[in-house]
Amino acid sequence: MPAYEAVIGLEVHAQLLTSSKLFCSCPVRFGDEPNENICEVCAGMPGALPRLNKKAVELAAKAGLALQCTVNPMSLFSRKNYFYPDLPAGFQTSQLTPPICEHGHLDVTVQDATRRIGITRIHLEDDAGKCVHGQGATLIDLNRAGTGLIEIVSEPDIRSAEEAAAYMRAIHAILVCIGATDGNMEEGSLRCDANVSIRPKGSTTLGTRTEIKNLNSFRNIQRAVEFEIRRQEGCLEDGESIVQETRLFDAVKQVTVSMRSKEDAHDYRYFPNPDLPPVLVLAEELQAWEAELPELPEARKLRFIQRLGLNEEEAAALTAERATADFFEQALALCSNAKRVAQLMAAEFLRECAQQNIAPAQAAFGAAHVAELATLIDEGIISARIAHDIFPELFASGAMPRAFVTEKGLVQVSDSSELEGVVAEVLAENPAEVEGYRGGKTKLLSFFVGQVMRKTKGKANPALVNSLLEESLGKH
Amino acid sequence: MAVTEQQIRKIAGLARIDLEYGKTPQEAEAFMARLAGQMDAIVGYIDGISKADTAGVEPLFCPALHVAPPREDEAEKKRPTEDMLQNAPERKDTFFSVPPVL
Ligand SMILES: [Zn+2]
Repeated sequence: MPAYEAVIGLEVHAQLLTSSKLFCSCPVRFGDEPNENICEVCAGMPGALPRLNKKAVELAAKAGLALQCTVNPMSLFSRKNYFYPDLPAGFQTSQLTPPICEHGHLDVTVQDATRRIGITRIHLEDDAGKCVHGQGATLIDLNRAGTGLIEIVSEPDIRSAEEAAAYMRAIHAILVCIGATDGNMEEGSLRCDANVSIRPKGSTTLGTRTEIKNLNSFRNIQRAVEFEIRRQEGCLEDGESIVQETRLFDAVKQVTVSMRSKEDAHDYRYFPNPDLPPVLVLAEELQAWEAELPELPEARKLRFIQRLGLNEEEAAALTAERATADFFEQALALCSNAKRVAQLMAAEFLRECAQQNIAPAQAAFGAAHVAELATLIDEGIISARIAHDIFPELFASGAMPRAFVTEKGLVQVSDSSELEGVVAEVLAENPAEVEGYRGGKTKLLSFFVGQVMRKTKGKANPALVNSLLEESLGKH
Repeated sequence: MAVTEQQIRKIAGLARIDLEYGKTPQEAEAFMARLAGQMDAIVGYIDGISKADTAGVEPLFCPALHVAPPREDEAEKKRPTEDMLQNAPERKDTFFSVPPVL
């Protein structure tokens, strides 16, 4: 069996974070009554004149800058023609040539190996509405129709399912960081199509590719691409050829299935949109937008590692989302032990946020709370173990940690006279272990530490317990 | 280049237009031939334009450069839903309703 390599390209669609739609002033807002936010433009009525949203141009250009693209001073809108009930005009307004941005790249790291993925182009386009398939009828809600999107098309430079998911994570982090999208994948603000083909390792020609549509989570991207690579390998090993087609990922069964469509379904007959003038980006505007870009996630991660002494894992967890990194830096302003704050956030805070499905900024437990908890550990008032034990309660209640530990009597026992009694008790109760330790089994020290901790309900100062035990056990 | 009947059928298919609707096979054939001739004349005209000498002429990307300039991102609800639904052949609550596509 020959070894294959996968060749993957992603087309990412991101809903732009604007207040109004791409070509009309209708509000971009979800959860309203069906068709509450529509007008003659976004409902595709004849004779309506579209007018481009400036903010959408700014956000698309900023995405291009953040992804090292050239931003074209002039780009054009075209009509992409096809029929579906959620597309009221019978065409999508998109960009063919030239798009607003092209020739960029993004570095993606998987298992310590960093690879550069080319970005072919970024173009502006409008979103379709939504269909509700009912009995005997399809119901159409056009509230989403006309919302501004950018489509980011990568080169076929991705080589594994894991790398595809990592690329999507990096795109997500950057777009959210620069405020181009809210990044809410569950609500479809960010979704992608994956083009997948395989070829014998070492070959430079491309195999026949399939396109998997509408992947809306990092996990689904990874699993769908994984499945598709295995499926294509199976086809080739069985002597079958791969059919160029569009496939859908079934997240429940974890398989991709063919969406058999007519051969000419992809004949979109693009032509320049005569209603829209070219999109112009002036050099001064571009300079101003570049100056407005915040520190990007990768740069921030490096700074956290190099300047604050965090490890790769902590820095990655804290910079995956801008809000989390901002939160971390707010806490740092109140407690200068960066390592301690990072550990608390990575090990406790982010875990609770994920479990309770709460965004860091929305948690009752804020940056001041994290800073205070870190300070309590630094001051030796509580142990890291106690911090871990009380964290879920603190997180849920939003109580200030210092008041909480005082009230609950959790303040660490750092008084050696108090602990000496407990140490003596533990040694008296475990004569066999004491003998063992004195006979050279020094690893038993942790057993004694555990016993002291149990008796003090975790409140004993661990460093003090260690030294007291060593001292007592050393005496004969 | 002559436009063929086959091309006419393909374009009509993409545009969801049934050119044979209500016609006998003979009528449909004659109609198709007539459309092919008309289309041929249009394409021939464009071919003629494309032969014009444009050396030294700046490309014109849009005939209406100053129509519909970009606008600020300000949301405003301009149309009551009821107005927007007035042209709907069928509706259900405030949805447009169309024949099932699934
Ligand atoms: Zn509208």
